[in-house]
Amino acid sequence: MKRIALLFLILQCALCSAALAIDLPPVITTDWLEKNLATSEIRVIDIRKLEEYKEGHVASAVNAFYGSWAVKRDNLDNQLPETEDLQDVLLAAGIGGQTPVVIIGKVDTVADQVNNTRIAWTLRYAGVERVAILDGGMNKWLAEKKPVSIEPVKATAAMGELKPNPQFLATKRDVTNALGKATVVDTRTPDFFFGVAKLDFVQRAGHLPLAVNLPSAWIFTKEGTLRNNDELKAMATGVVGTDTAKEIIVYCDTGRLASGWWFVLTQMLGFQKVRMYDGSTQEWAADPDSPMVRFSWD
Amino acid sequence: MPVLRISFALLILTLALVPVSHAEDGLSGCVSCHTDEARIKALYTPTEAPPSEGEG
Amino acid sequence: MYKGFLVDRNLLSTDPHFSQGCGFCHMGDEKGASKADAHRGLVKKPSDDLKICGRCHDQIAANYGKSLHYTTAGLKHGIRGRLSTAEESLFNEKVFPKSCNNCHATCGDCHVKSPTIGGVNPGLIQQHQFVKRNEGKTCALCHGGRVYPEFTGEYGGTPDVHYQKGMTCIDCHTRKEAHGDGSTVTSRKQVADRPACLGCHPRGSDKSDKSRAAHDQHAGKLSCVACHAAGQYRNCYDCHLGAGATAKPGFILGLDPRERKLVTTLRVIPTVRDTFSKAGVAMENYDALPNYWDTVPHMIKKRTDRTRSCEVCHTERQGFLSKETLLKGGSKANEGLIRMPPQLP
Repeated sequence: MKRIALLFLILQCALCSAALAIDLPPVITTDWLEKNLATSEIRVIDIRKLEEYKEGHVASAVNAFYGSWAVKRDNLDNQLPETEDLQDVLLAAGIGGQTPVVIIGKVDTVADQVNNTRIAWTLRYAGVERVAILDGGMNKWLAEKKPVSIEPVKATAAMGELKPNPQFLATKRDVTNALGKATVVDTRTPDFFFGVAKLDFVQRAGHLPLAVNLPSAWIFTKEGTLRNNDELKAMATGVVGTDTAKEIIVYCDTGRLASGWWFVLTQMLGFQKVRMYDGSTQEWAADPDSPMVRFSWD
Repeated sequence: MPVLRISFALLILTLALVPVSHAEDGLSGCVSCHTDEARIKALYTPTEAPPSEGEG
Repeated sequence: MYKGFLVDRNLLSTDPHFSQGCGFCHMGDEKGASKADAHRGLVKKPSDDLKICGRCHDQIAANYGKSLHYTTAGLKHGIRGRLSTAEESLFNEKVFPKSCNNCHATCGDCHVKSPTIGGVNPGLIQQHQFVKRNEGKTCALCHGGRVYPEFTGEYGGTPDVHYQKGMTCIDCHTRKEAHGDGSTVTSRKQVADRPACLGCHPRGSDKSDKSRAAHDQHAGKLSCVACHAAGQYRNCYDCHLGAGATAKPGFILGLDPRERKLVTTLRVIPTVRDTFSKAGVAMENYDALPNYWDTVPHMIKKRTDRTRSCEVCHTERQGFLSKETLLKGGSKANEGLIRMPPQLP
């Protein structure tokens, strides 16, 4: 009899937790966050610099600044940390695979804007299933004079082991093998794609053979919020087509901008096979044997 | 037309009284200027400090 | 937030620092009708004179007057070994006051207004509030060439684990260290109670057998940072009076030049033979000191390339100073810092 009662209790708890599981859309508004802030289930992470966080942050947010999630490795910027280091960051922020995570950053520049999507990509790669970004970031929250706290929040460390999702990551070898098969998307602005502009640390100008151009800078409005869903869908499908099952690889210079369209395609528009080339042009152009196309739109 | 004249006269009067109003507050010149956000912002735009080449 | 010279009006009635009026510290003419009149005789940095703050904070001001932040004696002491007695007098008269001591920190530089760097004045820290600490707007500026950007990961691309845990400067470098304790010191190495890794992470506190074995194997041979500094830090080369130095990233391992016992991370000191030639200081004893000095790069990580693999040091010898990598035309003392790790069997 006791056993049956216990089973019922377990079943009831399971049903309750399923019912309580929060529905986390990939992009949340400041109003949504304010309304759901008290939900203990959500882990809010503030990815701004520690100094900015200390000057005022959303009440329950823990600081896990951008540089913890994207480091310099093998002379390449913005790379995934070693798996055990990434696990340390994740668990210290109180994030397990099932934790719904809201990312709050700033949106002053395009780099700031895509920092949010880069962390979303990193979390999904790390095996976190539900991830959202705050539309308009901390800028919008502050502009709307929503409440802030200056008390640092320390998360209770999560337990567990990282199980990365390699399907979100493309290596240089993956890209080489996929040329001519997958749709390769250059997410830099057209002057970089065409090859009239180049960052100092990138050794050659131009784009990967057969790549198409879809700049991540165009995902956002001048206020730093995302363009509306219909507009983003039209922009994306106009370049990569409507087949959500097709294989796509996005890249940029260091693997930061590219996360913008990775996020929109996979988390908002339902594309299923989109990988980001983390090494991007910084790695590709450093190898003289890797082909590049300059002064051509094809 | 008289409305325009009255508005203009009021504007001149307001401008003339601005320094007087600070004096009536009993505030020093330093305080009246340095707590006036619009005036201070118009007078000084801070620039971001570059990374130091010095010891450190 | 606007960081110019806007003052928070509420402070005037709530903070006793303002009770005697602005002129009490800043002089000038409080009744001046125009900016020029009001600013006539203005003292921009009142705390340059420690007696101003010392009227209430007497002990702190007295200690601070002897601290390295105020005296910058470390800079004078560091070069001393390269100079003859006559050159030292010349250096102290012509170089030190203009090139070293002019960037000393006043009380206000840390508690009221961000320090001016390279002629750029970033303005008040928080609308003239007297702040206890705000490292990002104070320490970060004077120490913004090397330590701070290395700490945050903006230089080198790998943030320090302590910064990741929410710590900033004063969490390790305490108030006592910043203000001084009243004793006269000529180098930061003489500062009592300065932070040390073992102060918080004592021997034997390892969490795994692997870690304990590695620490036991290397104790007394390596400094902590020799293994735990994550990546390339900033090294400055070829400094000339008035023209500055050039910087580039690097990671260098060699013997600590002070005691020559431990292998540690070394940073290039940009003093070259003719650095002070404009001032007539030839540095007769230039070769008495090396061009590399022991450094603690503020980019500490639990795991680095060297903690992950023995081969990085014992086979590849990555970063170790060698005859081939020594600075060309550098001090003769440099060779004494070369120490290669034994090859693995």
